[in-house]
Amino acid sequence: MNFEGSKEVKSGVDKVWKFMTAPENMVQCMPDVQSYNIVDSKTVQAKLKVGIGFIKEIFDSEITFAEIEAGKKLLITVNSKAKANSATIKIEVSVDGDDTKSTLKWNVDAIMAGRLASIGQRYIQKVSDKIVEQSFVCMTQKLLA
Amino acid sequence: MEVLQTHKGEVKAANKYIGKNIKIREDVKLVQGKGHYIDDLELPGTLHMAYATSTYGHARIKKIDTSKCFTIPGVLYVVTGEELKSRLSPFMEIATPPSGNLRDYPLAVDKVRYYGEPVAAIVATDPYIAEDAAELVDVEYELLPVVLDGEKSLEQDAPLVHENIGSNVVWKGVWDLGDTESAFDRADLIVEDVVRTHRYASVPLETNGMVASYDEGSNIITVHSVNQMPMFSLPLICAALGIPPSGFRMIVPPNVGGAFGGKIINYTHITLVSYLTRILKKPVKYVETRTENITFGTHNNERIYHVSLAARKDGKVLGVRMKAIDNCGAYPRYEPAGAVIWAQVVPGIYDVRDIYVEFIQVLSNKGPTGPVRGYSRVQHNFMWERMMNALAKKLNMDPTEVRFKNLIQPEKMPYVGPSNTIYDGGNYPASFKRLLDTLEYKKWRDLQAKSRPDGRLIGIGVAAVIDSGANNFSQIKIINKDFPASGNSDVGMVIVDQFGDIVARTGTTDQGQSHATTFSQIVAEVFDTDPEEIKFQEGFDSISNIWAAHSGAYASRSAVIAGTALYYAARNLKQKVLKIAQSIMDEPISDLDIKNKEVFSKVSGKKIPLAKVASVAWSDVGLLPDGIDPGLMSYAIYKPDFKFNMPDERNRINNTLTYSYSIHATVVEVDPETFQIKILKHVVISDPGTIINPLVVEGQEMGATLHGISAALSENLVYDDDGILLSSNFWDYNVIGAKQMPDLELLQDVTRSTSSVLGVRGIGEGGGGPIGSIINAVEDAVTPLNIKLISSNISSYDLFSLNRKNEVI
Repeated sequence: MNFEGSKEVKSGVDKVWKFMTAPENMVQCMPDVQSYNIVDSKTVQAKLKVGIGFIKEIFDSEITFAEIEAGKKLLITVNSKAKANSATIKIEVSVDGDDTKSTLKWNVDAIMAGRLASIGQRYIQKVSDKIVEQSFVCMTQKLLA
Repeated sequence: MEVLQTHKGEVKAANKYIGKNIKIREDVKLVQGKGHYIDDLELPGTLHMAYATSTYGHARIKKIDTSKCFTIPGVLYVVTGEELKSRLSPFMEIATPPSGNLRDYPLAVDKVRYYGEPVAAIVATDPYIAEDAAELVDVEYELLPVVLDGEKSLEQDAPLVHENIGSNVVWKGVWDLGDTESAFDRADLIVEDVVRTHRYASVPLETNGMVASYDEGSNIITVHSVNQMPMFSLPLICAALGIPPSGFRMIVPPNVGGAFGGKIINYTHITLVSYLTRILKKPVKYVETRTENITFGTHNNERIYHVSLAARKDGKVLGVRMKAIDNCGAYPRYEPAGAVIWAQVVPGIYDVRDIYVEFIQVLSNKGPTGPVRGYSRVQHNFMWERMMNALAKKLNMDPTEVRFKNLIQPEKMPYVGPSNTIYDGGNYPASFKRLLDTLEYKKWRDLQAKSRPDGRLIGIGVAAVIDSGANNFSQIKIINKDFPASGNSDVGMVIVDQFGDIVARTGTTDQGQSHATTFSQIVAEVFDTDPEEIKFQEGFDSISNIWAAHSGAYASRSAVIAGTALYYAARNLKQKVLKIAQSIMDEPISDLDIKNKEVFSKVSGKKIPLAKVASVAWSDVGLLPDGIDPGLMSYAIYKPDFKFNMPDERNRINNTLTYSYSIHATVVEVDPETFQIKILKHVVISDPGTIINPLVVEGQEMGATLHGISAALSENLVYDDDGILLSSNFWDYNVIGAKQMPDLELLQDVTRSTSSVLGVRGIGEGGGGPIGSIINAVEDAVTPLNIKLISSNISSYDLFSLNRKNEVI
């Protein structure tokens, strides 16, 4: 499953980059985070609640952050497991712009497996899209705060 | 009125009970909930097993952590493939090496090969605890690329499903029958096409289930299971467990809630619960959930045909060449039997003798396949019916006209086909004509033509299937000449007990086919006694009941083979009764007969109750005439002669004993806006041979037809590109219900089978007929939209998508 999106932010590139490379900021923007533990500057363990229709699961997730291109491109990898479900999501986020405004672009490559993938396949794309969208909306709001 | 005729040619008087609509005795009991099914069995102290299953279609197992399971009170044992690998032998394979070296265990070993494959089994004090614990099994996977399509599976760089066999090929063979080169040289035209059959399932009302217990004293494992082919499964299970058959008792409960082929390859679960009961010293039970049943129960083989058909311009087919690629999923559990079973119906219902078939069966990362109603022949019959339509289209002929040109003529019956199958009677052209008359074919064609300008999409389709019944296991020797089974056999036992009651038993299992009613009618006919008076003792038991090595209920064989064994047993017992009565009554045996549980003299009118004869036979044995052993118990084993009993060098063999046909005609209307498909009329004609009970036969034919309609229009096992099964429950895998079913008109043109002793034909499997007639009808309906169908399944969504691709609208 692959999808992408973009968002304009009224903040400069440096500010955005600083924000997105701080794992705590990013994790707090993921919807339905039940709890999290920052392991180091590049790794977070979190419990994420994901619901597709009436099926809801709490995923034990390990989220890692790796710079692809300093100040420009970041790879966030989420490895999640829940009861009879698993997901591997790779989110490539790039930031471009100037000192006053930036454009965030993301490209998501997700492999969903297990019961949620089997039963909820027809909704997964939309739900995943929505979750990522919400995360970036949260990010832009926090940057403006 | 049917005549019961023995294989020696003697003709009895007109039948009194065979052929009668006698009330089905099982029905009242079952609708009142008085049946005994596997899940009703709760042995004291029973533990329950649940599976943790693979979340991926293909992945290496790096680590399995089961420790969290034990945090739930009540969890007693967790087993993984790693343990089984060292404690069990892999299941025996039908194929020879290299694919015969494939290693199959009840749980995934080293890697998972399809979505939903069991990776661990949890045993707990109740089923809900076991299921909860199964979700705590933590598996670390390394993802591997999947191969899902049969043709892609053959590509050089395709991922290997089982690395140790070096390719994804399970088996391949060639049937070079007649002279196709000459046929193609003589042809006016060649039609080439691709035909695909889709993956669907058996979906019985009751899923698979089994209860195993272990008696340390006798060192015997007893398994109650719904297995429909127990004597095939028993050696596989015993070999895997490393125990002799004498240490394993297999029992099938009196009632099994449907099978349709889907209860043959459940031996993997039986082996596992047997293994666990021996460790835990307590009964262990497993009953599949619906999702498990759909995910790994039994899937029908997907097949791709590349066909070239040579014909004259008058529509006569001269020859056909094809390459068939059969996708059997991740484990060939009953396979590659399907790679030869299609050959039971090589020419379909058509008189075509020059046929070349290259058949390849391959592995993929999909669920295991196995027999599904009409096993392996549904696909082949479908191919014929699609090609007949393709030829008609090319010649601009009516599809029924092309068929009339090619049907096997009645004077050629019994018809020895190009692969030595012996079609055992029937008048195909007359039946086809009657079918079209009943459908009012011309009227529908006229309406179709008249309504097309108004945008109405009406279509008419016809298709036939041969339901080949009572299989000859020798055909498996085409795959593996050392395969230790051939022919077929079953047993019948008839007892007149000490009170004079007539009791019958066979080695078959009943999955809802009304064996008690049917078999009682056979025995009743011999004893001229009301069938209600015949006690039929149901339930298979490998230790305490009778069986033959081929016993079970599969391949449309029960009435044909077990029914004959029972007939012989009854006939032999009747002779013994008369011999004893002769001495009691002091009458010549030629004057005696039996009626309504009394022995009477046709000359003097003198009579004695059967109970009196039974009393002498069983207990008052001092009165028995010289040379007569005590007891009134007769056992007969029947092994049919298939004439061409073994395969020759060109793979020719008579694969089954009887060949019942059914031809289906369907009228559909497709909504031009929503593309919804509605069946306006569906008519079926068949020849089941001598009918024992018309109600039972009608039920079988109706069930088979509905299964086929559901397969064509609804049931479809869909995998995504990563190998995740998307239709694993009744939300997504829709079995058509009574409300969606059209009215059916079932016709019969009855002729005796020239091969079976009782004249009957197997009729349990004719499930594929509607698939061909519906697909042909839908394609006919959407002719104005220039839509071509390839698959055996069609939905309104598919039609909508195909229409968009064509950009017609």
